[in-house]
Amino acid sequence: MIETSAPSVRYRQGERVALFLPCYCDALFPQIGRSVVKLFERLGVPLEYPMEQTCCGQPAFNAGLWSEAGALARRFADVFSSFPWIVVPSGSCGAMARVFYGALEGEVEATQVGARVYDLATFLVEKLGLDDVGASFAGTVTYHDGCHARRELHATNAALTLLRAVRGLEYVELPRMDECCGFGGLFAVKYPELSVSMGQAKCEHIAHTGATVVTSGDASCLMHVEGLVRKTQPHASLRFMHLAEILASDG
Amino acid sequence: MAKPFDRKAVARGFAHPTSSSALLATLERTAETSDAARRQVPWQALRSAAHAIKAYSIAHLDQLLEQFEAQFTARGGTVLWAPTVADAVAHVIDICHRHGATSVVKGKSMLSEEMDLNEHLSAATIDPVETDLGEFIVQLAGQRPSHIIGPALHLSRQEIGVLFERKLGIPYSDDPEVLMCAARERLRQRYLTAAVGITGVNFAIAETGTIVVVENEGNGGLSSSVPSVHIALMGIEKVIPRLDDLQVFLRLLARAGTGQKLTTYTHYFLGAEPGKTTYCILVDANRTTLLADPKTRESLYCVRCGACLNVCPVYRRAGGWAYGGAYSGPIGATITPALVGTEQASELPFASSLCGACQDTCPVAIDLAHQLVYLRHKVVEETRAGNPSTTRAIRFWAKAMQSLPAYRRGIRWLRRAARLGRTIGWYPGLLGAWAKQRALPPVPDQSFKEFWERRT
Amino acid sequence: MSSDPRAQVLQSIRRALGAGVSRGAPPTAFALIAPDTSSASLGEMFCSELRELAGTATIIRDKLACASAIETYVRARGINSMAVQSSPLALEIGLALRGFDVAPAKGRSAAELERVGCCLIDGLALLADTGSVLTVATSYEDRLLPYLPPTCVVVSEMARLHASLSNVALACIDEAARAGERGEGVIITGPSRSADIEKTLVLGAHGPAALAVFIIATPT
Repeated sequence: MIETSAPSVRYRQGERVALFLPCYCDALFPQIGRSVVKLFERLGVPLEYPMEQTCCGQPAFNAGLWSEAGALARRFADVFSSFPWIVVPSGSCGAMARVFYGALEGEVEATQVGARVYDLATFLVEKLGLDDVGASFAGTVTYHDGCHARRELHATNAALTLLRAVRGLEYVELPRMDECCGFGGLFAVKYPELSVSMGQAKCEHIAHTGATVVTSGDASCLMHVEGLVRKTQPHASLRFMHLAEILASDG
Repeated sequence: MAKPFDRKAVARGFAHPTSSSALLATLERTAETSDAARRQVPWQALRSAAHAIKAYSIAHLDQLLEQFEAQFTARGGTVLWAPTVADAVAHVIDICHRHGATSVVKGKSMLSEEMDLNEHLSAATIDPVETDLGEFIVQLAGQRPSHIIGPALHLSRQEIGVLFERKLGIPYSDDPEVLMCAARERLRQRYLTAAVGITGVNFAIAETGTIVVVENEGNGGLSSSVPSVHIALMGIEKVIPRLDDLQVFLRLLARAGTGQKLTTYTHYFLGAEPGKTTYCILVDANRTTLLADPKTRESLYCVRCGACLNVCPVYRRAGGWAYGGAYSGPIGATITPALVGTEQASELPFASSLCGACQDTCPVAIDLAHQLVYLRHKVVEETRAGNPSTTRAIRFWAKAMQSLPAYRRGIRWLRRAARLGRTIGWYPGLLGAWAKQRALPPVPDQSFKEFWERRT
Repeated sequence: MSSDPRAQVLQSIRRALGAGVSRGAPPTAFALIAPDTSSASLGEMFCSELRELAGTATIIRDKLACASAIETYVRARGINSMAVQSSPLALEIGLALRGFDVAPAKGRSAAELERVGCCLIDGLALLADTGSVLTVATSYEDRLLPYLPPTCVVVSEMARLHASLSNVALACIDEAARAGERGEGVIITGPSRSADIEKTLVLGAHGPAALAVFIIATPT
């Protein structure tokens, strides 16, 4: 059993890193996974993708189905047990593993493995010790803070540090960046009026910035806000890109 | 009673955009004012201290209540115990009868809302007079309060002007100062003729047997001081150990809820002076249910500041009545299942995007968002409610996630459904609920797993 | 009502808390480090905080000047009658006032006190960082004073000025409590107010719309 390293310990060359890609990214946003692969190649950090991985269990957890979530947590621990570092381009799934596996009664191994999971931004800044990952991207970019990334993983500063170091990128702060976009998983389809109202407020704030690109560490948030924009303003030229895509960009 | 967060009611509520957007704007401003006030003090250190004091108090609740009782009694007060709200109501009515009260003046008390006290007093031909301006307004309007701190925030000044014209017979005005003066005038005589005054309790100090009540208008002072009988209604969770602990909470409470440094009046009742009779009614009413579950115990730390309501994106849009009970907002969603039963309150924990803003803002650092997820688990375990079709769908999905082949089949199905949906303009099930107001993303040619396989 | 409600509630609590009765001490009292400021700047801070709350605060040379200043203030507001709290400083200043009907609150009914234009109460402690006043009332009449009359005048001394709410500041209430005094201590922070109508601030909701604090620099 690999011991979980202390928070201050950094990545050492040669240690194995696994990519954990959210299930809906596998299905609908594979470019996020491809971007992480490309980024790690550029940085010279070997990245593996255990094919056996499926889902972290968050939808089950958030729906109150904790025994099903526990089963998926155990499976996760199995799949990733041999990796000292696990990187996930999602604050939401990252929080599930790092924080909420601990809420499941008796899931000791999952909690241990979960503690080795890092969201992409935190891994790059705190474990690799980087702020400049060699990216170039021309555009006016604003950043939306996913709630789990912000409040459970405290990853905001890392994400902004990385964005500000991207060559050619003009960063504009999103007003009320800390306000929820309204996705919330199940919430988006259970209470669509509330969810859409929150998303519309987010769209207004984005319009306020004059940005041409919206980014975030969570594709779920982007999917929700972009879904609203595409439906209500089908000709809008606003682009939605995951942080990984920007950091992998060569200009 | 309507089921809290009945989804049709929420949808209907959105047919009145003006009141919803007014509340939203008001609360955005309140949250900003509160943020500024917090920065003036070592907020995180105070928060931790408050959390630790409450943790101790709740863990020693029986001892502290006994100590409080002994001290309060030594000061000439009378302590009464009420296992249920019905018991508490009975105590109040009994006291009113014994002192010949035909009317009572009431300071703001959320607990009295829980008890439906006004209804019961009226039924016993005792006239309950709400003196807090917001409570006075909703009482006139025959409505329930919609916010813990600002009961009438859902009403515009024009609506209140019309209400006062109809019910108080004054010429129409929508000037808040004029309206307040009208209320003040009307209530002056009521204080002088009521035999009994009722208030809530913010903190009860075990060490000295003293009761602390905070307010801004002075109606709490008048309600407790003018009549010769003062009844203090207290949830058992309000007791704290020492006077030393009070200042921590006083520093946090007003800043958290309204952005004030201190409320205008912080009353510290020292016991009944000659000619005065004071009662403190200690009410359980299912607080011990919250206590019994370690995962919900922290909700008892609540100091009823209203900060979580102010920041909640759901509360800001849905308003207080959607929660169906005395308490609304994130704290309401957290405690109502224990107060009214899991079945009745089954929707409450799901009416949240779990953003965690409440947890972040809480001055006592209650793990509100974590409790909401836990309550979802409780609802699913204990009831057949919690939207069975969604639960079934997720259970099915979770099963599929257990094996790689099943997972891949599921992903292939999802991609096909999304692709087909875009072509024919219709999606099944949950995808359909999404697609009414949001576009679905275009489906890429390969999944990531397919890309990775081809790569290696 | 069920058998013994007290026993029921306590049993319910004990059952909920489960086995293992802990008898530990409460956490160490939180110590807020008060800023190291001179009393002159604390005085300024107090005055500016209270002014922000639409109250007034004046630092005055001595008791004689204080009485005179209060006379001027009360006269300017067209007030004819004053009720005085039965505490030494309030009585001393109150009974030195000339030109209107000043009498101790003691022995007067609530209805009478309702008709009085102004009260005079003793500020046992002052809190600079919030512009607050602490007073203790140990009789029925004194308890009504801070709330019934539309104007509230507070008299206090510079020596009673504290940087902030602290155990030292609360000691005056605590002393009264421990000495077996009955009644009510109250911390007053500005005039009465409400924002219940559209979050619009209005003063004088039920309590006084005007609060004036006079702080004597050298009481002797």
